[in-house]
Amino acid sequence: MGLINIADIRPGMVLAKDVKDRNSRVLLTAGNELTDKHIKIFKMWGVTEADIQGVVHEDVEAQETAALDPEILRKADLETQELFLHAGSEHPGAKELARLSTMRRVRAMMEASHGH
Amino acid sequence: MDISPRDLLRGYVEVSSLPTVHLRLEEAINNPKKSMSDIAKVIREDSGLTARLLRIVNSAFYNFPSKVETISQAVTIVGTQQLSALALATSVMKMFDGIKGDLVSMDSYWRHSIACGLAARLLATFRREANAERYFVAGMLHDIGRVVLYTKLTDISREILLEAKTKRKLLYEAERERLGFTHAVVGGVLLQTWKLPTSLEEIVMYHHNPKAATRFPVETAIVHVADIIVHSMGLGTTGEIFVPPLDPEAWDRLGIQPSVLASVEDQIDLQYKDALQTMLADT
Repeated sequence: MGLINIADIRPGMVLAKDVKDRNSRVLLTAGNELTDKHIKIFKMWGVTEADIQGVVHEDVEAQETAALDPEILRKADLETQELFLHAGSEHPGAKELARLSTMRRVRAMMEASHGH
Repeated sequence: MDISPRDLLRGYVEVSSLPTVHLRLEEAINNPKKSMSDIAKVIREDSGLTARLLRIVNSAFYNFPSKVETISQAVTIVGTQQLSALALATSVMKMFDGIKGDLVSMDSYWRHSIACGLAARLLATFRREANAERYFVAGMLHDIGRVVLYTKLTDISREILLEAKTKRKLLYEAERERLGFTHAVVGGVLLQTWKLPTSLEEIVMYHHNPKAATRFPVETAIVHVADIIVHSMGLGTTGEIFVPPLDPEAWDRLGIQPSVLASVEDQIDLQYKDALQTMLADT
């Protein structure tokens, strides 16, 4: 089981734990297979992550980056490292911000290269 | 350096006091005998402020289904405290309008500040804090001390910026080494001079040192994290080129999961352009 960001959750995945909204109200119990409608409702209630059976958080992130141009990814990663020189990326919050920064830079570089 | 933040502000007549409309607005809001229409009347007396507020209320900031045509409507829909907070944000921007950004462009300065305001407001909304607009103001004003430093100590500030850049230091560390205090303290003292709520003063004063915020720890933590989010997104800058370090204890005070950050960034992306257009347009 692994905690997966709402953006990476797909229909067919199976919940390992109950999904609750911000008031701790249960929206869907563990064991349910997710549909498009479930995911839409999670987003509406401000759910940002869910525990999914049989997947690991790091694998999902690795899959996401595996599809990218390695050269662009390397450049984006270096820029992020310089930007985070004093912030580090050990803290889970800083780590997530650094990951988002790299992905943002990748998108910008890809848009720029498609423009030419 | 033998100068204190207070000395700096003493000789700075242009920003020594807030426009009187704010004092009257605060008075009207805090006076139980005054009604919503009294408050609307105070705003309407300042036509520039009226236009600016209506523009904000009609922007993606709120996304109301129909157009808000008058200040009376705005007061009813948005609320008096909230409107007063927005009025403060735009008036401070207006106050610093004439400043040339010799060291850091004012455009870039306000971009960072507005984005930080949006981030703080979103984090506050996520935590279901009452009156999220006061976090917008706090975010907008968090680096206001830098404008004072750049204007009153231009040459020294140029050296500080260069020192931070060449030695790859955090700008506030370079400020402290050179001046003995940081822009955060200057900003806090400025808000104190303006007699703004103590919460704003503490948030601004301790946004890089949230541990020291004893009276408004959560409020300060929100702006501390908002600043870091916006730095990592690269939306404008007030001179700093690095993401400031995250205080783990301040993060814990927010009680949010790291996965919230992606949706906060998405929301900022959605609101940023429109907020810039709305806040940076001249009136």
